[in-house]
Amino acid sequence: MKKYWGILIGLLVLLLITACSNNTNPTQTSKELMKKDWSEIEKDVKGTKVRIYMWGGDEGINQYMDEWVAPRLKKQFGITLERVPMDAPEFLKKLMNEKKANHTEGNMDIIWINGENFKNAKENDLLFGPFANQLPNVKKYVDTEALDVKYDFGTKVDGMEAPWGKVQFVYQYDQAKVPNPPKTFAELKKWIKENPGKFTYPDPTDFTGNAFLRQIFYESVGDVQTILDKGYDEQFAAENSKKMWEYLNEIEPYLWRQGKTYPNDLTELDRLYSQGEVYMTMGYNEARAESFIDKGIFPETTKTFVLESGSIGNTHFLAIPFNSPNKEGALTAINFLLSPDAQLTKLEPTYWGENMSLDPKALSEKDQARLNSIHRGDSVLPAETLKQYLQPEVNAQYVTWLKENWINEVVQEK
Amino acid sequence: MKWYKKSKPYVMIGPALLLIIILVGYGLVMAFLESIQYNHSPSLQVYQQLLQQKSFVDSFLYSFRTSLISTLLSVIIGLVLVRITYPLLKRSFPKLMAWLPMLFPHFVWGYMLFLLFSQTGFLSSLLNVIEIIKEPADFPILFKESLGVGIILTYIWKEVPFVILMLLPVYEQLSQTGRELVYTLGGRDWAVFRHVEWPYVFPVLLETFFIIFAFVFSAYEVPALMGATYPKMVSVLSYDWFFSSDWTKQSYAFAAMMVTTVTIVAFVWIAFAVTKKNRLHLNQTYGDGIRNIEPVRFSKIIFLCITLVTIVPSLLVILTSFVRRWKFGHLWPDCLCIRAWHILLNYEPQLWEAVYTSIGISLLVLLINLLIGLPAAKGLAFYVFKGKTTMETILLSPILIPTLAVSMGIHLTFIRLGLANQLAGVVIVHLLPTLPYTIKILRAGFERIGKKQEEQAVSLGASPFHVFYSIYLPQLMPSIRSTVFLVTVISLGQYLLTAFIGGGSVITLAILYFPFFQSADDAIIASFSVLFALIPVVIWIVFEVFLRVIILYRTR
Repeated sequence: MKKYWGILIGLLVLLLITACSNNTNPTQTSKELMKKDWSEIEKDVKGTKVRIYMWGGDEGINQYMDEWVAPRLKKQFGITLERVPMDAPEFLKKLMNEKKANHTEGNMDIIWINGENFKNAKENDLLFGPFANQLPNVKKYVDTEALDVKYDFGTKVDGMEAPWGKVQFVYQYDQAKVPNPPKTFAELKKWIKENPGKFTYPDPTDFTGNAFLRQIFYESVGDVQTILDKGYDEQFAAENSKKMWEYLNEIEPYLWRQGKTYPNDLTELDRLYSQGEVYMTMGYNEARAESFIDKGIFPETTKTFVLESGSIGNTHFLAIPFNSPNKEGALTAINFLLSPDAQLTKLEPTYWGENMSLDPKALSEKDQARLNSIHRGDSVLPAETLKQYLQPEVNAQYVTWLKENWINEVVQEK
Repeated sequence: MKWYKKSKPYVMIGPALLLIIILVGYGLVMAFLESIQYNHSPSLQVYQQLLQQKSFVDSFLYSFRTSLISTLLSVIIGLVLVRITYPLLKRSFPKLMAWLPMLFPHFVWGYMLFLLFSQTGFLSSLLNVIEIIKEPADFPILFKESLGVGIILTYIWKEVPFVILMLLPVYEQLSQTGRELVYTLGGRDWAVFRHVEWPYVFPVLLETFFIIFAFVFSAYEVPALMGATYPKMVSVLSYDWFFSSDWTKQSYAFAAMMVTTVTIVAFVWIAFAVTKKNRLHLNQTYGDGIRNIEPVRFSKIIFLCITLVTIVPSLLVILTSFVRRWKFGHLWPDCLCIRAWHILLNYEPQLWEAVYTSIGISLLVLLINLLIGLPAAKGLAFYVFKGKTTMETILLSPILIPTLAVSMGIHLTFIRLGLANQLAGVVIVHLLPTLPYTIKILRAGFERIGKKQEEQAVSLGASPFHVFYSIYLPQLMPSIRSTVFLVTVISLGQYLLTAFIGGGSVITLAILYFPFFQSADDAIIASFSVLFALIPVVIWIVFEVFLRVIILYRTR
């Protein structure tokens, strides 16, 4: 039995040695790397591996990455793309810990983030960069002066992430049950009262539920620009949110299950809609209903609408962690993902059906023709309508503020 | 030699103890340090705020109530079922039937019950077809209401098999002599239970109670899936804070988990201390051989019920994996198709790699579990020594403490040790949620066998290996079987620890599978669930075949 101790002590010593020999690989600074010629970067990446961490719960998106992107990266640049399904809060926690432990050679090369996650990552120096504005495809095709590219939920992007796609908030409804969808929040209220139990929204801890609230908040304040000018201001929020809480409390008794409980997340709301328990659902990505209809989850009579008071649109981005072991590879891959070909394919309903982050006007004539020929699906509103009601995101801290006050103002207020 | 004799139990328990202290201890210290961060300076302010917050107190009481009810009911139902059906459950097939719900991770089982009992679920739909109810709203609300009926239901359904797993070995090896003695003296069934069974059953039952209680109290998935908006269970609250986009909420998450941890550990430590005497006499028994016992009356009917109750949700999930759209009020889905399976098998290039990795990790974890767990269990079963109660509590601690609380600390350690993002790291960290079970089960096994046989063998000159191989191994078989089953199931279902420690470099099935729970695509979720449940079954079958071969070889 004494052997045990021997083995154990040996093991501990071994662990300590490996711990000490955890040598620090000098991190390439952004400046050094960006000084390199682009063609040189693309040449250097041959035979390397790039690992992208992204939410993995939609097989359309997964297939786009695995079947369309990965083989092309392999063929054109010799890069092996490895997609790792993981949620943003999780990989950021992981990254934060690696930062704490001074772990300079991690295993993530690209991460898919936006909003609050980007804010946290940027503020805690978890990202490599600035890099975005040096990418050839960003220079060529992205309107870097556009507000939704310059700011990510009120946080300045500063080239620390590159825009990958844009989505807009729309409501889905069943045309067979709702012949005339509401056009304003007032009409929505009226509809909810006339159809008790057939509407609800996700708990605002959920991304989508929070966006629903933000839009009422905009309406309550009167004008988004006021909020944008103000920045994050709790006093201002408290003073201007009375109308919103009144609205929410007024519709509550007419919601699904009399508003005694709310769906925890969008998935639950989608499920309720798919079962016909409620007649409307909602969410970012103006084309999201298409794949659901296609799979038979949503009824075929599903259509979408936006309210005239506006619909929030936001941009999501790709970033490179500070300790990415293959930054050149990451740059090359991100640049490829922003190429017109990759972006147009992403827009097509075959895989993902999501809007480009590129400026359509900057595209070549041939690409513009391809863009115009893409039919996104019957449930998708025309581009002009969407554009007409588009509204920007406000400071990410409002997300948290709404989340917390909703519990006090709406749930506990009985 | 004297030192060796005196400290023998410590040596036996040592490796297990050390492993757990290093991992959990450091993790807990880190969690505590995080919890006292208030505006970048250490203070207990966070705790104070937490305990004054109405929503936290409500949550805490709600969690306590829900956990207590689920645990009590599970234990009682489990005991009754084992008592009635254990002669039947000895065979492999009935055992598998009873254990079936354990094959599915908790949230999958919750989801299956949701498919069955929600307002638009299968049962509601069925009642609609036979015109008992008119519309979904007529069906009673079981999920997402403030009483937590759905949560309790899911836990009972899921934990009763676990109670069976823990109690079955006890009943299988119960003394027949004692039983016959009671009958001879004119005792009835109740007397048999009270005097022959209860002394053996009680300690196991108590431990099972705590394991389940702690689990229900700190688990996240089921209440997150079917809990109401208010009050939320403490675990959900701390999880939301932990992963909240507002990183200043972190300290609240850790504080909430520390409060949970302290409550549970204190509870268990006191109970162990109080019942210490009750367990002592157990290791003095003779193993008096196992005889075949006549099944109790009704046992077939009861078993049929168990089978029905476990197999219906399982079949429903298999059916769902082929469904395209299943409208309310239709008895049968409109059409069946293999879309989900097609996507799963053809378009998930990492799937097979993940399956192999998962199996590999499970087997390694199992092996290490047995290597470390067997001596530790024996040490705990046969020796009385200083600090035993404390050590028992420590050995049990990984399942009493919320995983989330220690995961950050462990991750930091592993990064420094170079174990993060490595398969080895994942294997080591999977020991945490499995080793306590292994030790529990094997210890109960050793206690029932007793050490008299070993003493006889040693006095006849048998070597330690021979003693283990010829005396303990064959008699421990029921316990080892339970261990194999439980360890593979637990290891396979680990998401959070695998995600953190494996860091995405180690892709297991759980890593691929979890994100899909955020889509409303029932068919995909269902087909993944089926695949998920098949793996432990395969491992179990391989193990059984392996055993048969060994037994064949031995008896030759």
